[in-house]
Amino acid sequence: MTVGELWRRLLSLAHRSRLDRELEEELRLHIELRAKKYQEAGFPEEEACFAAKRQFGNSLMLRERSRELWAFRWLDEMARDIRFGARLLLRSPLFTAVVVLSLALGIGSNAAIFSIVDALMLRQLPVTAPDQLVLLSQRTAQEADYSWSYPLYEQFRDHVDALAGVLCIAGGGKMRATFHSAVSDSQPELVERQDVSGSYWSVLGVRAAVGRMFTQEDDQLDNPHDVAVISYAFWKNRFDLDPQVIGRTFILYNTPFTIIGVAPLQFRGTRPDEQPQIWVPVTTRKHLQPGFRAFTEHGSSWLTVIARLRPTTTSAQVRAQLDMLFQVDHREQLRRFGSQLTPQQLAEEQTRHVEVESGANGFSWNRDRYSRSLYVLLTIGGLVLLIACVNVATLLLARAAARRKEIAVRISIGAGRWRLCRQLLTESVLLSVAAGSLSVVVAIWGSRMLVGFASGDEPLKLNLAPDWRMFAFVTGLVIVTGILFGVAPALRSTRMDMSPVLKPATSGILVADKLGLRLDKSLIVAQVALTLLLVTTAALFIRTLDKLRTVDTGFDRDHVLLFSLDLGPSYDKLAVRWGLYHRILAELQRLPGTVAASFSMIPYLSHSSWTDNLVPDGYVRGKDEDVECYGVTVGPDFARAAGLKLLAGRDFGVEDQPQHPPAEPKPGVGPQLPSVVIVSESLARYYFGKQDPLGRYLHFDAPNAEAPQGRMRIVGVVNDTSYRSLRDPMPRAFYIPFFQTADEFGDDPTFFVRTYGSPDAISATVQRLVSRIDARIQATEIHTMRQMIDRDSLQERVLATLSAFLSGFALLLVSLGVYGVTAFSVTRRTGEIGIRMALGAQSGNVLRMVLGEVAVLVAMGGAAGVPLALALAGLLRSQLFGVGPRDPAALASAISVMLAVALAAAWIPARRAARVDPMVALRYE
Amino acid sequence: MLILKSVARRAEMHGFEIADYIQQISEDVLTVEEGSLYPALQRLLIKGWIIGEWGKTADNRRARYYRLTGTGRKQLEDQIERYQRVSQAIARVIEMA
Repeated sequence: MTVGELWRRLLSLAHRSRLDRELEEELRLHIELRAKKYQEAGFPEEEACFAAKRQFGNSLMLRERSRELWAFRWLDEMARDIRFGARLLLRSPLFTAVVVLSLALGIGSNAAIFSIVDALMLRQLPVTAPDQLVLLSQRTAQEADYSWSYPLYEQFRDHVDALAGVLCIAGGGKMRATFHSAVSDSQPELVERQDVSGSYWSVLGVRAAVGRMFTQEDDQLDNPHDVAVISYAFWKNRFDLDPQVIGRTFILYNTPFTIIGVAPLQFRGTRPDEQPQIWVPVTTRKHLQPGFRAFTEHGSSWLTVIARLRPTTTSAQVRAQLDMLFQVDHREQLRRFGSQLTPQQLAEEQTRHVEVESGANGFSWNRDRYSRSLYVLLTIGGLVLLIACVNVATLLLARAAARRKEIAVRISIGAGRWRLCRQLLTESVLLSVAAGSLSVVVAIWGSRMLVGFASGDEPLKLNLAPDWRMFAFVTGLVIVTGILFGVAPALRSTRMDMSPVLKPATSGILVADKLGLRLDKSLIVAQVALTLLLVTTAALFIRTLDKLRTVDTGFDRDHVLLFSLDLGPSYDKLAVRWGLYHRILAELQRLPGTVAASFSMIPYLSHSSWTDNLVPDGYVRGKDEDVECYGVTVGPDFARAAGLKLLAGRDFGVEDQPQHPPAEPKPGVGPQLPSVVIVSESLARYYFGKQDPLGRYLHFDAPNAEAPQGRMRIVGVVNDTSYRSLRDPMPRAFYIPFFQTADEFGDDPTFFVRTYGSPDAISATVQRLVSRIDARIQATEIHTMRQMIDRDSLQERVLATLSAFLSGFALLLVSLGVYGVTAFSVTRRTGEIGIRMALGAQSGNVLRMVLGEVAVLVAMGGAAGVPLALALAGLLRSQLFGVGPRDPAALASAISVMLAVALAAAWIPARRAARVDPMVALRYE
Repeated sequence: MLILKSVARRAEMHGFEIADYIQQISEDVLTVEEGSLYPALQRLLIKGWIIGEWGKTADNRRARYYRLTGTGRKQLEDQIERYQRVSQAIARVIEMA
C-alpha cells in the first residue's frame, strides 16, 4: 500500500457518507441512461427500465463491495469490538471498577516513582546541545568524588584545548537579601542563591530572557563584579515580570549587587533538585565571605565542574588531557600530605584519577543518594503491577467462565477463533486504557506526595511536570499490562470444546473445568509468591527503620533543641563572635527549663566530619595502623548539653575559657592546640586499655609545618556516640574546647540546648532571645534532635512506608483473588458438598476442608516465594540497617500476615460452603 | 486495463460512457454485468490511477467524469507492454504447435 493510497483511504473515513451518496448517484445515472438507450431502441418504458437494472446487476451488493474497498475492514471491526466491549463492561460496573481501579493504582504508582526517576536522572537540561556536556569526577577504587578545588578548575578552564568550555558551580543556599526600590528598601527576604563561574551561561548556551548574562569578565578573581542573574520564576513572583528589574540593586550581607539579567523560563539551574532564584559570579564570595580562602587552596574541594566537549573530540581524549593536569596537582598534594596517610590510604590515593560522564542531565547530590532506593521502589512497583495483572487475569477468567455460553454460540455459528480472541483482547485493552488514563492522575498526585514526603523539612524541588517520557512509560505499561492479563484468558476461553457447554447440565455433579480451575489456582499461587516477596521486603524495611529510630546514639535524643545563627557582616571578626557566643550561652543557661547549653562546630548526624590522626605522646604507630580519630570542636558544658555520660574526669568549664581569643597563627606555623581534650570511651580503651587515661597527653601525628602545634591533656572521658550518621559505626572521637582554638576548625556553631521538658516548647523563646541580643541576627535551622534523627533516617522511612503501602495493596489484591477463586469453586462444588454433608460431614469439616485448600495454596505460594525472597533480599543489603537480608523475624511475620489475609479472604465463601443445606443442594440438581 | 485504456482514449468519461465504450469496441464480446464496472473504478480511484470530478452531461445531468493521472498512464503503458509480451509468447507457442 503506497502512502498516497493510505492517505486517500484515511480521507475517505472522514466523509464516508458523501462517498456513499456519490456512488449511489452515479449508479442511478447509469441505470437511467441505459434505460433511456433501450427506450430509444424502441422498448416500452417499463421494460427498458427493468432490462437496464438486470443488465446492471445487484446495485446494493456493488455498493457494499466498493465500500469495503475503501475502508480498512479491521478498522471497522475494531470500532465494532470497542463499542461491543464497552457496552459489556458497563453492564458489569463492579467488575469493571475493581479491574480499572486496581490497574490504575498499579500503573499509577509505577508512573509516580518513574516520574521522580525521570526528574532526577533522565531529564536533559534545557540548554544548547546537552549531549556535549560532561560531568567531571575523581575516582579511586573505593569512591567517586564530584567536588573540585578552584585551582584545578582554573587549570581545566585554561589548559584543556579538547574542551569548548568549562564551568563550575559552588553551593549557595538561602541568604537574606534587601531589595532597593525608588520608594523604600524591602524587608530582608530569604533568597536561594547559587554561585557559578562566569563561563556558566556561555558554556551552557543559555541566553538571557531579559538583559544580559554575566561572563568571565564579571568573574575575575582580582576584581569580581557584584552582578546577579535572577530566575524567571523569581522575576515573575517577586517582580511581576517588570522589565525595569534590570539595573535594580539588592544587598546580600552588606554587598550591593545589581541585577543584570533574567534567565529563560525553562531554565531552572543545573541541579535537578534545586531551583536557585539568584545566580552570582562565584568570585563574589570574596565580598560575601571576607577571609574566604578556598580560591587558592588546592586541598579544598567545593565545586561541581561541568565541561562542554568540542564536537570533534571524544570524552576519552578529554579524560586523558584532564587527568594529566590532575595528576600533577594530585602528586604535589600527596607529596605534602601523604605522610599522614596509612599505606592503605596512600595506595588508594595513588589510584585517584579523573573520570568524565554525561552531564546532559546535570548533577545532583541526591541522585546517588536516592537512586538505589528509587530502583528498589520501581522494582517493588513493578511486582505490584504484575500481581495486579495476575489478579485481573483471574477475574477475567472467572468472567470468561460466565460467558462460556455466549462464546460457544459464537464459535458454533462460525466466528473465527482469532476474531473472538480479538474481541476479548479489545476488552482487556479497553480496561487497561481506562486504567491508564486514570493512572496519570494517580501518578501526578502520587509523585507530588512522594516528593513532599521524601523531602522532610528540606524540600526537594523537582520538576515533576509530566513529559513525553512519562507518557511513553504509561503507554508502554498500558500496552504490556493489557496483553499480560488479557492473553491467557482470551486464549483459554476460545479453546474450549463447546459441546458440553451448550448441553444443559445432565450429570448430578457438574464436571469441574479441570484445566480452568488449575489455571486459576496456579495464578493464585503466583500471586501469593510475589506478595510474600513484597511483604518480606516491607518487613525488612520496617525493621530497619525501627532499628534506626531506637538505635543507641549515645546522646540525648529527646530533650535537645538545635539551632544555628544567621550572622550579618558585623560579626566577621573572630573576637566579636567570641563575645556573642559567650553572651548567647549565658542567656540560654538562664532560661527556665534548661539543663545546659553549649554548641558544636560539627553537630551529630550532619554527614560532615573532621578526621585527624591523633596519638598519645610517645606512641609508636604500627605500619598499617589506622589512627584516624573523629574530632568535634565544642563549647563549655558540652557533655551535659548533649546528654553524654561523663565516664571519668570533667566537662569543659570556666577554666577552659580564656577571656581573649588566641592570636591568629603566623604563616608557616600551625595553630596552637588547646591544652585540654575530652575523649570517647573507645578512644581511651584503644590507647590506654584498662589504664587511667586522665592526665595523659595526645597530639596530632602530622609531621608538617601547617599542622596544629602542641599537645593536649585528657581531662574527661565520655561514652561513644554516633557521629556522621546513624548508620555508621561509632568512631573513636575527641572533643576540643572552641574557646581555646585560634584556628577556627570550621566556624559555624550549632547550639545545643538540653531541656527538662519537650525541646519544642522553647524554640520560640530561643528565637526571641537571639533577636533580643542583636536585632541584626537571627536563629535559623531550629530543629530538635529527634528531627535530626528523623532526617537522617528519612530515606528508610520513605522506603518503609512506601513498601508497606505497596505490599498492603498487593495483599488486598491477593485477598480479592483468593476470595474470587474460593467463592467460584464453592459454588461449583455445591452439589459435592451437599453429598458430603448428606453422608455425615459436619459443617466444621467442610469449613476446614475449604480453608485447608486455601492454606495449601498459600503453602505452595510460600514454597515458591520464600526462596525467591531469600535470593533477592541480598540485593537489599545496602538499604538495611541492623537486620540481615534473611532476617527470620521478617520472613516469619510476612508468612503469617500472608496466611492470615488469605484465610480471612477465604472465610466468607468457606462459611457459605459450611452452611450448605444438603437437601437444597441436592434438590437443586 | 480495459477501463484505463478507455479512460485514456478520451480526456474524460463518466461511468456509463466507459461501459458503453467497452461494450462497443469489444463488439459485445465482453459484456459483463455493467455494475461491476463501479467497484473497479473505485479500486482505481484508491490506487490513484484515475481521478473523478463532477461535471455536467450533454443533457445537463450531474455525472462523475474520470480522468487518467500520471501514475495511471504509466500503469497503463506497463500493463499494455506486459500484455503484449504475454500474448506474443502465447501466439508463438500456438504457431509452433
